[in-house]
Amino acid sequence: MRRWSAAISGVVLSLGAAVAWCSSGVGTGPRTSLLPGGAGIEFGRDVRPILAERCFACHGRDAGARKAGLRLDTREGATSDRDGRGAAIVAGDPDSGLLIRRVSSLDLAERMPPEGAGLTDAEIAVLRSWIAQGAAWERHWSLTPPRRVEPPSVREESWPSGSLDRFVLSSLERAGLEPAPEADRFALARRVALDLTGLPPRPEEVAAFARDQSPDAYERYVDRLLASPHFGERWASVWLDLARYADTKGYEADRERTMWPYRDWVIDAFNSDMPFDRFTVEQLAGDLLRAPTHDQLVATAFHRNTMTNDEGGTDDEEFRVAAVIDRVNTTMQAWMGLTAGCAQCHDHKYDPISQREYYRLFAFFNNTQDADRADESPTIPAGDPRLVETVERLTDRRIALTKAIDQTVMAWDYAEPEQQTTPVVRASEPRDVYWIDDEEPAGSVPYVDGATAPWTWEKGPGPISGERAMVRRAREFSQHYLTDAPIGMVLAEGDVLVAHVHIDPTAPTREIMLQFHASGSWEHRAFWGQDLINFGSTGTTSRARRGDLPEAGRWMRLEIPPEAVGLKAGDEIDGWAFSQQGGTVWWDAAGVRTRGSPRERWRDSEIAWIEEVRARGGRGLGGEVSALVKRDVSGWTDSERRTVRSTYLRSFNRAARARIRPLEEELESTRMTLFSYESRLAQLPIMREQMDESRETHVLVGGSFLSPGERVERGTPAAFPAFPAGARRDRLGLARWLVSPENPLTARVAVNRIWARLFGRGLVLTEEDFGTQGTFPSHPELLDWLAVEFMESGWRIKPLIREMVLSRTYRQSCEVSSLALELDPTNRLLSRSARTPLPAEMVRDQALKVSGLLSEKLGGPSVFPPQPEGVWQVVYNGAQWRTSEGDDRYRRALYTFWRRTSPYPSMMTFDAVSREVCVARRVPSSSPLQAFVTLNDPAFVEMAQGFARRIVAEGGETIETRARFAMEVALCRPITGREIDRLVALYGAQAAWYGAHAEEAERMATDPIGAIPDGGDAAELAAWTVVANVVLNLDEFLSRP
Amino acid sequence: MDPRLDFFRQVTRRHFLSAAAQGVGGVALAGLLGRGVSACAAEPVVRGARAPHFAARAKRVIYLHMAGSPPQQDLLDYKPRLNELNGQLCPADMLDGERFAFIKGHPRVLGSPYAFERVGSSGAWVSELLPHFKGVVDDVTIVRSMHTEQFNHAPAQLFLYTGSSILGRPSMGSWVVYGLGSEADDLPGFVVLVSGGTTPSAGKSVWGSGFLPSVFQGVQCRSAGDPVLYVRDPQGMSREGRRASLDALADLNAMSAERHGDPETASRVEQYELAFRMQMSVPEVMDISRESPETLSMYGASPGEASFANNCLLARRLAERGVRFIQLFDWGWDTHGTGPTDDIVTQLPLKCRQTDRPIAALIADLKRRGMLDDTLVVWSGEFGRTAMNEERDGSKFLGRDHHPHCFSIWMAGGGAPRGKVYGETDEFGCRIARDPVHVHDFQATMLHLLGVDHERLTYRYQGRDFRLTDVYGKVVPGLIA
Repeated sequence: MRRWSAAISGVVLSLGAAVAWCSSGVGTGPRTSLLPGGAGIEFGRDVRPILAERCFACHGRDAGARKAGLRLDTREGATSDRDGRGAAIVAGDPDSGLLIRRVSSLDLAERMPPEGAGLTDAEIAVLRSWIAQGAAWERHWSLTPPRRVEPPSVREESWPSGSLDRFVLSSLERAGLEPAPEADRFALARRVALDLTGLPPRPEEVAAFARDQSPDAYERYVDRLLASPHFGERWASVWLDLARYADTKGYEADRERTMWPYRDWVIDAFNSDMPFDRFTVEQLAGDLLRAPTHDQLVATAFHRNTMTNDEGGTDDEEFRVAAVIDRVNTTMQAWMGLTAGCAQCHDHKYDPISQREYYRLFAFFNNTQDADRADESPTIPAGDPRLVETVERLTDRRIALTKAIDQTVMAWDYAEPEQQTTPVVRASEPRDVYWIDDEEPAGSVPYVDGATAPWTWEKGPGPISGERAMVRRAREFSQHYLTDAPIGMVLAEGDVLVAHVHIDPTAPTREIMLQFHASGSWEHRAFWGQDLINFGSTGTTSRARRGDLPEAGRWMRLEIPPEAVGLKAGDEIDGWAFSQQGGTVWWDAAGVRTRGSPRERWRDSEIAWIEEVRARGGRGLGGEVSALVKRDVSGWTDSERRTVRSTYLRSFNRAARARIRPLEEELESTRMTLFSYESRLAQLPIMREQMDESRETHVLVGGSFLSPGERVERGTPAAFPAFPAGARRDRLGLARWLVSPENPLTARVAVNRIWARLFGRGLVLTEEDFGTQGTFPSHPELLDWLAVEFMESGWRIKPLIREMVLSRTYRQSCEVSSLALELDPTNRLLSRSARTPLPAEMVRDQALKVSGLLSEKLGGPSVFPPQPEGVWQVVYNGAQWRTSEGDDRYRRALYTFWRRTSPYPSMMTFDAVSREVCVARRVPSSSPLQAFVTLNDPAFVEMAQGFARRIVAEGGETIETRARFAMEVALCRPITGREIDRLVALYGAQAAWYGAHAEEAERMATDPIGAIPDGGDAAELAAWTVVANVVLNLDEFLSRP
Repeated sequence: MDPRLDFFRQVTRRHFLSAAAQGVGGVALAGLLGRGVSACAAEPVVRGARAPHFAARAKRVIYLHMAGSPPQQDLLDYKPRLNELNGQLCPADMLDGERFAFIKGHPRVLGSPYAFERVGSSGAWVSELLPHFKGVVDDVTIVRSMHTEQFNHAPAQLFLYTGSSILGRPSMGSWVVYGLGSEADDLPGFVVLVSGGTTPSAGKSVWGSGFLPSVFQGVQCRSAGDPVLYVRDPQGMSREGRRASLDALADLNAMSAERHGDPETASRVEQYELAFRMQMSVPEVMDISRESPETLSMYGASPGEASFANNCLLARRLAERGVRFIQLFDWGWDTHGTGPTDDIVTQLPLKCRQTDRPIAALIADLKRRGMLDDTLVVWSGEFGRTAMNEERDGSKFLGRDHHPHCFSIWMAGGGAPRGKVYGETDEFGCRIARDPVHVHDFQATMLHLLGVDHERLTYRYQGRDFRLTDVYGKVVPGLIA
């Protein structure tokens, strides 16, 4: 038994007061919770917590850590005889098994557990009675699906307003307690407004509610709050902690990323009362729904809130894996209240998730396209809904046009024209034949300043030929050109090159140049004006001056004899460039003056075209067609025939081009508009599945991406309901599994989270842990009843919240009786309303609202309220805090730009979380730094100044009425004479002092809010600012009533 | 009125009276400065002792972090072999299985441009870049065999300070204050001072409280601007005005407490009183102009600057006033050699000039005040640097890339041996040859010197007991005097 006698703990030193305080209230707490007057031993409530806390680390699920081959988490393990040593537990006989002997042994070498304090007598007694009663084993309570329990009967039948209250009252009565009296209307009005919308009510709303004698006054008051758009803001801020929502990527550079469209999606989801099952499916797998809407894709940004590491030299795969791990942990945490992360490196010691099962879950998330890339791809444009709508419309149009062009080509009824027999005759008089007129030469690729781009065609000063002309507007050198035209312009004897130019007299150019490409060379240039464009050598045919700039303000004809630029009859011009040095220049109608007859049969005849392009070796046609035209036509397959035909029709055939050209032009302008709109939209990272399912998942040994072990397939842990047969084994299937009625946890976790926000603590205190290490529910039947109600009523959150806040339990006052203080010190039994400190968001929002400064604008990009200089100092990232102007300075807290490595300091002081990982519950703390924020943070000083101005403007004429107004607005209740007197005294002293200190008065009244309004008095406003500052710091103001 | 409520109100009232009678103090107050947590809605449960587990050698820690990581080969780990092979391709086995942040291809060995000499009774080799440090070398233990698992700044800093490279765990200072509380009545228990113009790579997470209550997070005190965020009264408010408004606040809170009888109201009043006193104590401790000219010049400190020298002097002042964990970060040690602002020829000597004198002064000053015995001073980066020249994009400036397999730190006072060199690296300063000290071992040893068993300083979160050393770490006896 050496193994059992290892390391006896050191002597426990006496506790200093300071030290003892450290651990108080940190509380996940002991889970043995024999309710006063409670029933007999229950395994889940009374026994398992002891075993879990004291035994499972060495005698639990983790086979790797198991000592002495003993496992106490299953009945089989605990009652079987191990190698003749006897069983740990013999049901019905506590004294026969080893367990009771070992835990109660006085010999430290034998006692279990070997380290730390031994079991208490009470704990041992629980184990004894449980074994004596037959050692009944139950699955951990949270693994058993919730079942509908009949609400219990109660003695005080007049109290409950619904089933919820019956559960609460029943446990109070068993404990010998009675509920607290109902809170007064004022407290209730403020409490429920804060809980539902995160904002206090206006005094007139409170007054109206307090006066309303109708029986449904409170119900109607609540319904108005539920319908308020601020409801979504309040509840979104709860979900965003779980979603680890932030505006930056995390890690070293912690650069900005666009996530706010997702935040707005969450707000909308709560406001529209999206059922929680849909809320789940869209966030986890919106991209896998059939034809997902834009909003459903936005929802998937939930799992793109993982961090991305841009630091130099990082292994993208390492951080991609870290992101996938975070997705598994977050999903299990947010929906099932489980701490799956333990199983990343080894079998979970306490909960039924083996390491292999962990990676089976991992596999669901391991096939998305994102891979820790700096550009965050894949993304979608998101943001201003009107912009998004425009982009969607333009995208649809773009797709439709592309399709229309394809269809035009495909459906074209082409017939080869009859063979032309008339011989080619030379015309007696020369005439112009244009190669470039109204569009680029057939099949050529246009360039603008070095990049492929369509030329700019406009009506301009009225084209010389056709319908439009080319134009360039430039400050310096600029050009548009084409090269490698499949069919060029062959020069005949006596031909003269021709082009037309129109120089804008209001934006004159300094030089124009024409360049011709023939036989693979651009060294054929003619220019007019100054010799600034330094291609070729001046004075040669590679840069031949043809005169001064043509007259501006009218179309001028340019003629260039081919020999002037080194060309001769028989040369084929297959490229042409129009260049200029600054200014605005129009070009049109470029080609030749010729006596010859143009060989343009190929514009109408495919056979002629094939001959032409074949003679040119298929130049400029692209690989496949180029190769085909060099081969004999008779050898083409049908599909090859179709390929050649469609190329011909699409780019060369005169009649087809006439039909296609307008479509192409609309497509091009649609593309340009789309681009300009898209660039104004943010790129929101979303989830997208990889096209192929190539990424294998392996168990990662020790959680390291460098140590892949056994290969695993997607699946859910065996302890939970089976994955439905036939369901898709992808994220969508997983999401549906989470919200299936058989899932024992999702509904419980969801209702418990809402309960905790409304009642100050969860029915399961450890909101983040429903496993064996978590706390047993204070009211298990109530939790189940709520969970079942929630599911059966279609997972609707607003009705659930309504049910809770209409209950008598919720409406209790926070007054505590001495008996309740004794029997229910932590309010576990709900013997009163919880008076809790306000969360960080409400601390800001409430003060903003009361001060009259609050902007009630919903949604949009995150904002930058005032923050002290120098708080943002981030390495390798030049981002600056740019304080928002106007209304955006006064937005609700949840819109504040959230930088993970440097979160908004005043909110962190009030226990907001940094949003690096999913957090289910904030731990409230109390620190003098909090006082600094609400007393001195310039943002709060500004609110006090705003409030002071409001007090003077709206608070009546006397000091007394103003003091009363200030208190009523802040506290939403009638104010006592003593309270007024105290504020009046403070005001009097301050007004006197500021009256004698003009400079200080000016500062106190205006810095930072700005100049005193017309007719205002600095000393008066300064003194009211001091008063307002006090009111905004009252304990009552900062507490939930 | 219900007599039971009346009873409770009496309790509350007494609470107020006693608080007023004592000035501010007592148990509830202890909760405000990192000594405890407001119970609020959580279950008030004491889970095991947080007293020192055994006699402490150190009462407090001053941690000097050279953010970016100094090159050990140029400061404390003398490697003449590098100079012999300077400019040659490094041996191929040094590249086996290595990943570098920036080095590409086959890099060349980089000797140190600096002369070393043996100093002190331990005969430790010290670079010419640290002339003042040579004078205090007999008070320190140089550890040349530290190693870590991370080779990028943010994860490596997180690993050093939280025991995990993933964000979200409490930092070393938070753990220590959570475990031992603070001795300072009107100062935070965990103070952070930053110099070099920017916070470390991992941002404020390296002094965050992670899942510990936020009261344990480090409080950044700034030597320029407000020393603590929002500590200053609004423009135009006098001290008397603040006093008068806090008096009114307390009176109104008392009236309100009579109505609902919540003892938390009393601790709120105390919280504000403490804040009021901190408004005096924090600027006072942060005001180094009160130091003698001799002391100022000893540190090379000048009032009003945000310098490392000032921060060293502030560290001593904070230590004197009972602050438990004082964390300094100095940015600018990431000497890759991409230019003159991050090479080992210009930048490194500059950083040494900025830090060498104040560090030596801090040790001497603590010693002459009798504080070195129970103050542990630690100097480190987050990892080491390569024996090879980085030559990023063909840079002509000399510099070294990140290197996790060994780096040098030192410890002074607080129960660390005096005048000792611990551990050894191979001839290239590339791998550890003797007595490796893993980051978790170092953390365990530091806690041990503070009288804390690293395996028993735990916090239950999401169903698991977490600790600074994760599930690893062993105390290194050779680092204890």
